[in-house]
Amino acid sequence: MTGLSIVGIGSTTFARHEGRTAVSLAAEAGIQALRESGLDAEHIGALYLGNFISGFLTGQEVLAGLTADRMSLGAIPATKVEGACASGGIAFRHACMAVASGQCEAAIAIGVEKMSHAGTATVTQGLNCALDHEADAASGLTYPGLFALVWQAHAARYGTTREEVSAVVKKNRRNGLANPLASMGANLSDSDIEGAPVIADPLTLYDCCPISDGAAAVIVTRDDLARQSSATAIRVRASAQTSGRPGLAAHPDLCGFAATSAAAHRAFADARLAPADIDLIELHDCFSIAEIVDIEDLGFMPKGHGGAWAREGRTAVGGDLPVNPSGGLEAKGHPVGATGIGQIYEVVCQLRGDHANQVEGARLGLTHNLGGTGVACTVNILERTS
Amino acid sequence: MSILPLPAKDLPLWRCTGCDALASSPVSLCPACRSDCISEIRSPGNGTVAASTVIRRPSAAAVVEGPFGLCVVRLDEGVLVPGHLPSPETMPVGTPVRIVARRGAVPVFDLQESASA
Repeated sequence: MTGLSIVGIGSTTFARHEGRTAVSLAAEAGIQALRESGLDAEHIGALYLGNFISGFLTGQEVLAGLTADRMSLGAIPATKVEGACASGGIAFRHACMAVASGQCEAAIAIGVEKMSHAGTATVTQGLNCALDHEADAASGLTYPGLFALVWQAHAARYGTTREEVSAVVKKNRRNGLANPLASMGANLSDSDIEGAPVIADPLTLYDCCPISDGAAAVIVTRDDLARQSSATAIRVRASAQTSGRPGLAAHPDLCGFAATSAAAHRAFADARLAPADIDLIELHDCFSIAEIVDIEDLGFMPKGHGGAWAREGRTAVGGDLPVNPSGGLEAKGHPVGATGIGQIYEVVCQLRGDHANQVEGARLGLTHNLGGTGVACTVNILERTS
Repeated sequence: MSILPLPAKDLPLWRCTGCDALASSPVSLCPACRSDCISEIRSPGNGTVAASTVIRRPSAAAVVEGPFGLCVVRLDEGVLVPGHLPSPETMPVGTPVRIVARRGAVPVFDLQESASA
């Protein structure tokens, strides 16, 4: 896809939003993005909404149509897409395709989730909707359990240590302190992390992203319309989506996710770029070990080297390759359907040069959004052109 | 849920009769060659631990109360299969195990030496 730009962004905080509905959160982010773009609402020809389990947790469906109505967008097509935790990234790619195909000159992608009103066991049951129920759910597997298994397999093969995984937690929680959208920023010590309650051995509470509410939105346009926008346009160099085998036992070695490798390969090929060109990454650290696995799967270093990069500070802001300068899912929270759009929001801020944890001179940024047991993945590459 | 002894201590697997690829859950078409000639076979349920954990915060829909030991076993036939461990403790990767029981449809694996004792 060529000739596409992001011209407006909006986001609620990722936090507990008591008394709010998913639709009100989605509309708040969407209106913010539309106002920031300076475009008239008449330019918006389609709405794509990423959401995973708000139907299960709140009983409310048709979120796309309700959000379009709340935003007074008229009779435009409004479509909900679902790919577990990758729902937001998939919504963005569909907005890009709607504009690239000529169906409309601008489209809005919104991601939203409302989770915090439900208890942890119920949220866990909701997230388990993304497991393959024929193959895995009967075993009592949970998502913390999945990433605990990944950690044990990765450690057995590559020697990945608690210290290396804790380096990810400390970096992301620290990055979150400066991010006004992040609710879980903190200065944590190794003993804080190791002494926290165990969720699924060896994952402790601080290895897991918090249950959150929130919404994020971006507006995609043709480049020519982007020049009419009052906001600094950021070009979409690539937007790739892949599928992977959903069953736990279908992953050849449990040390990585094939959907991530395939999406990165496709995105770099489409953009005619290589990992060395990228200035910063916002990736899917739903659990601390996931950041190490993901950055390897994306092709930034050989398998087994991600832990050392974290330990040596190479993924910090100011390091060789800043990863999750926003604080990531661990410090921001993970309102599941919103996360993929929230990552794009953060990278757009970086490429405009106005992020709270600014990566100096950032020109190319990558986002990575992974759904379920690696069943869906999106990778986007964005560029500052001015 | 109580641990029930298996009538026959074995596990169902699905084999493509076209290319012999194996799967540990039902498939409609072979993932390797897309053949629809899939037959159910039986594994004696011997293998090694590929990874394990203890689930301490189960889903509201879980049939087993936590904490419980959960594992993925690489069967001698080469495929992975999820299962339970007899106690809420992890087992090192590579530990030889065999199926000893079943909780509902879920196989329970234990050390090969203690299982044969």
